[in-house]
Amino acid sequence: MTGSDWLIVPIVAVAAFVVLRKLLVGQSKKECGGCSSCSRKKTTAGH
Amino acid sequence: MSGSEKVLVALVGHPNCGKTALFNALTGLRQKVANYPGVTVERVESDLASDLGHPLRVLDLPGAYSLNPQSEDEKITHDVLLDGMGTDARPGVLIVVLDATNLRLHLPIALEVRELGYPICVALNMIDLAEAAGMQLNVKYLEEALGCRVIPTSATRKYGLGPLVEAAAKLASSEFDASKTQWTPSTREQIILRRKSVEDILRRTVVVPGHPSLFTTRVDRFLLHPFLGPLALLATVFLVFQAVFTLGAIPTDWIDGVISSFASWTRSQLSSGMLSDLLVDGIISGVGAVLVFLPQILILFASLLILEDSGYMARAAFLMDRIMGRVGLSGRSVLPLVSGFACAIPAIIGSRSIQSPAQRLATILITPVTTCSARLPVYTLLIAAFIPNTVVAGLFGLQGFVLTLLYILGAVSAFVFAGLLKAFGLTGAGGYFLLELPTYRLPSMRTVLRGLLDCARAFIVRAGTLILSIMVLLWAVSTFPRPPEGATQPSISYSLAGKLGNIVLPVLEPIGFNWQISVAMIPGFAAREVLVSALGTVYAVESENSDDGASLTEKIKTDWSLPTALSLLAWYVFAPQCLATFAVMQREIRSLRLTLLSFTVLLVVAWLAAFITYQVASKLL
Repeated sequence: MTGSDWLIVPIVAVAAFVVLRKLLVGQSKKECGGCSSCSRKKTTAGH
Repeated sequence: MSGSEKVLVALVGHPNCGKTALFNALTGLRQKVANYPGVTVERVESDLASDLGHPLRVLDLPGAYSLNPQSEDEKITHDVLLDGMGTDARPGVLIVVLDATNLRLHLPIALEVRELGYPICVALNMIDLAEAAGMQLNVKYLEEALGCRVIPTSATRKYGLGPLVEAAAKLASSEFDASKTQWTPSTREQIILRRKSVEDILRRTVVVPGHPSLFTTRVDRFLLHPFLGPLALLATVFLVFQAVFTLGAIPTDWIDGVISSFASWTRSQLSSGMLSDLLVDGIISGVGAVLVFLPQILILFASLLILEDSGYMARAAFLMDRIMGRVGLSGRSVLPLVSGFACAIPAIIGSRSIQSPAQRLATILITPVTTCSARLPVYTLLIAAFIPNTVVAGLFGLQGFVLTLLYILGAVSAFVFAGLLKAFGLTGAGGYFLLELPTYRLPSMRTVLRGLLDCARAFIVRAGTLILSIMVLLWAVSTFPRPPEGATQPSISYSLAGKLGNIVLPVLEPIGFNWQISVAMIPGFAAREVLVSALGTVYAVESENSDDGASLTEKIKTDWSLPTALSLLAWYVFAPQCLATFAVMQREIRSLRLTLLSFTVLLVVAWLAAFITYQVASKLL
């Protein structure tokens, strides 16, 4: 790898972070319907 | 003033009385609205729009026919009003939203809520429709009878919002201790008494009763006909999928051309090397492969939004009720299942409006088989590559016809699964089904356009974040380790992805999948449409010359056999390739055992369906 090719390292690292975050954190609040009552402080059970 | 110090004003009322439309008008938000009951199944709150001039927060609640909850969504409304759902955030003021065109049905909840002791005012919503129907209402008398302010409103036309906010703000300044609110389920005598009060109020409130919508009556005579109704439903579904192909083809080709030109231009601007390969083979080929399907997805969404807003979706549920009853479901399950054509996640959450726990469970378990829009890129790619674009009987396109068949196959499979769940005793018998059929109306252009804008934004954001990131990683594992000196095969064969593909291949080879599909299938479990992007990246990396101008459609056309394409289509009807769906399923049914069972059964059924399709097609074709 030479010169600008090294730029792929941070790009791949950021991509890995985005995918891992999605896997570990799971669904974002926005995707789950934006219900503000849980605010991630408690489970969404019951509403 | 912080959000927590603001008085919370909750919107309470029957399903489909316009609470969410009013909430959107008051807050400037864009929560989903549609012309059928049970759209809102969660509590949503937001600050009052600043131009309305009061420091209030507005809370939209799921519709409820009474305070005695019969379903999960009604329970939310009950819990919020009675104990704030275990938080301090109990409403300080209630706005009871009534449908002015149907006061007989809607007034009982106002009387029941009034008994709680909350400061209340009433939004007499859809007043424009009531006036259009020739109704004349004595609002002054209604105020006297209910003992609170009654403000005529039209949420869609933003009429009456100022006086409504003024009334709520005035109530918000009064002293009220929500913790002293008491409620016990109504006795039979109380319900009868309330009914009598409603009749008394109606006698003096409704000065001129107006006339029912003749248009709705006439159209329903045809659309709810026992024989013609189902035929009209089938024709509607068929027309939608013909439109997906015929109308979607031109913008799809245009976007495809732009992406190809952009890929060539990018490669020409960069010196050849890994960065150029990553940008062109990984990102542009991968993300571009799925972006080209945006027009088709928008046409599907536009059709769904128009059908929802016109009031036809409730009729579809009514028509399907008898058929659903045979497998232990009811028409109530149809509404969330139809929304599953867009995405399984809101469909699973939407099943909270189903009263019977057994029917709700069955609906959730069969939802992953309904054909969500994420399957559309896969179906469209394969159909465009392998099904000739011919006109059958001079009437309809073969490609659109095959797409309709795939959607019907998904619906029939869901029906069969529901039957099996009933046969195994996992769900109970079908219950009764009561549904308020809304009046037909011209779909609101604003609702449809906003829905489309949200859909396009969500699709592009998803393509630009998650799918892009997965494609970068896929490119990395398809590129490294590099091939040894003197390697004779394509470099991807020596990469981690190539090796992984070869490990999975023995399981997928009997169903006709090659190693490129095997590699693309792995990230495809994150979301269905990722398979298309992954195929774009894998073929681009493999060819090591992606600016040869060939589209992904052309590449798979030359590389795959027809049985392989058919097998992949069969796989995709059943495959549980959306982890988010199963995460939400687990959250809603709270049973890891059932969630894992559902995932495994669908995986096995997908393999068997693909195996049978491939073997039969290989023999016949």
